[in-house]
Amino acid sequence: MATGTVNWRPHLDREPGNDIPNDADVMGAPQMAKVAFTQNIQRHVTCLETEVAGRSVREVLDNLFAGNARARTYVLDDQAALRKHMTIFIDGNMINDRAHLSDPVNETSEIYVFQALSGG
Amino acid sequence: MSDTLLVSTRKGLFRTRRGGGGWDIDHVDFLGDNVTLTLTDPRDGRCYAALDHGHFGVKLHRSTATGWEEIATPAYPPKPEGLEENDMWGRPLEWTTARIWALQAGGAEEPGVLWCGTVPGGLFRSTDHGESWELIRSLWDHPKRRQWMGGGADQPGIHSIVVDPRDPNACGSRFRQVGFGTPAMPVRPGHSAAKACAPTTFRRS
Repeated sequence: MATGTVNWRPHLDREPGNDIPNDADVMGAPQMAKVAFTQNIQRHVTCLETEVAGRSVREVLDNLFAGNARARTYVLDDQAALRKHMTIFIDGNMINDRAHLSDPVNETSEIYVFQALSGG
Repeated sequence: MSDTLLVSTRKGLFRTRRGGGGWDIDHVDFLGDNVTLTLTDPRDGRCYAALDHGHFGVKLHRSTATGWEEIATPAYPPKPEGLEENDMWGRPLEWTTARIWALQAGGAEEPGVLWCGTVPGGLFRSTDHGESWELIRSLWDHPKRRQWMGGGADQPGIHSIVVDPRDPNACGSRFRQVGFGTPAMPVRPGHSAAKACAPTTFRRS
């Protein structure tokens, strides 16, 4: 896998203290994961790096795309599965469930959505 | 004969004009992108361009007074839970637009009506210049769809759409036909006739 873009940031910036659960987390407030997209997709549709609530990839993307419906069609297919040549990593690990996007997400998760290099 | 030609290529949409010395490129849109199909609607002059972005899927654009705007891409409804469909090789049949393979304007008296043929074989109709699309279920639900094949792609597709010019605004009691070598079947009552021509190999089925 690779992004194919020269400006892609390999890591998201995160304040050191953000890894420590705050009172809101303890009270059951929605968990917020950081989501980032490649520069390449920005050619077609704006997908800004953002924090989104959700306990699974599905929940995170549903919440994200609720405010950016056009971007949804660039990442997900007609059946809401991850497009064949797209990939998503959570904290450095590629997700397992491309159809239902059930992979768990926590409040410190960093989610990267980008193009996969398919084929040989 | 028109002196303008739109050429869809893997590297963009090129507009060429006939001059004294032949055809010359005078404008390029979507430079670097894979433009798979273009339609100029003779009723209002609008252009529609289908793009295949590979990773990001198929997209559809419509011309405006100042350029282009992305509009809705025909999309398949949710596949029923538990439904298992395989082609004759045992490969799962997918309910997602893999390619826009045919675009056709509706009848002269149906402004805004467009037809779209796709891979994997769904025929779509729009009544609002492509703002929204409806899958023609009578064709998609045809019992022989699982046997569709051919056309040079891994999945079947509708590559040609012919609108019946005789009376596109006929009354609602009249059923229009989609024919492709199998017994003719209704698309929807009261809609312009569209003949979807499946790949040649399919005609023999």
